[in-house]
Amino acid sequence: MKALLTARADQRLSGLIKSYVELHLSQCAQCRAALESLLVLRQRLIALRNAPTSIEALSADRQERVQVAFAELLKRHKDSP
Amino acid sequence: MNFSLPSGVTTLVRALFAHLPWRRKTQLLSPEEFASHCQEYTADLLRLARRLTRGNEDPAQDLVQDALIRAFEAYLRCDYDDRGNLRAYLMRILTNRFLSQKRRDRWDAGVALGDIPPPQSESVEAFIVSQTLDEPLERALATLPDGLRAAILLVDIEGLEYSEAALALGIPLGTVRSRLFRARQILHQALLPCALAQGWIPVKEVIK
Repeated sequence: MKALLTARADQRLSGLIKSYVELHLSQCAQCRAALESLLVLRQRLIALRNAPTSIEALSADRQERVQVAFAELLKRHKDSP
Repeated sequence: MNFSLPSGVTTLVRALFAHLPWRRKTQLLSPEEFASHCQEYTADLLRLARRLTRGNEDPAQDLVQDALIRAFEAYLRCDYDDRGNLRAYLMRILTNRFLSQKRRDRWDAGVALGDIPPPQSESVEAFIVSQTLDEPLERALATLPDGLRAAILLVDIEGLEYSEAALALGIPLGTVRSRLFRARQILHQALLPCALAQGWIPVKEVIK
């Protein structure tokens, strides 16, 4: 039931399993409370997705390394038969 | 005996093999477009990498650099299908690299998975304080073991599907669910005293 509650909080259940979980939730206060806590925690986690960050993006030297690697890989790819 | 096919036949066989149904990938993007799209996700990748490395900036930047280059290599080898989700694909490469590095470090150190406590360096503290939106939650996330933290970061914060997270973590779908539950349980316990003190969340019962 633990894993199913997690999936229920994420709305990733369907069909018979979803019906079974809903039926169980309607009869089990402990699972309802656990689900409520999971939903609140999930909202807080989702909020972090859009949290502004004060730290800079990829450093200039790493950006340059990526660009150089891309160019080399592409050249090697075009040169290969 | 030296046997070789005429070059025209070899080319033909190679071309046919490249177009067999199980080899064929949908690559609608040119390499330049693919490279450009990859770099659009740099900020998302850095956010994930910083939380995976508990705010250690250098390893986080290394992970992103490595993930971008490996993704481009995979694209050129036709190992990437454009119909997939590029953001999830990049996060999968990054997480795979992070977890395999961790496994290698532990192997080299000769310690078991659960024996290393999370490092509490100045960079971790600086990272947590910089994430001002929900400091208690950031702090609790940093205490999670690597495998659990990766699962919760991928699904809850980055919004990947369970199946995409399963690929990134190299575990079955059912294990993703149970890891998520365990991670949320630990987070819940860690946040409970603070939440009750502040009256932030309506916690009635402990998750069991």
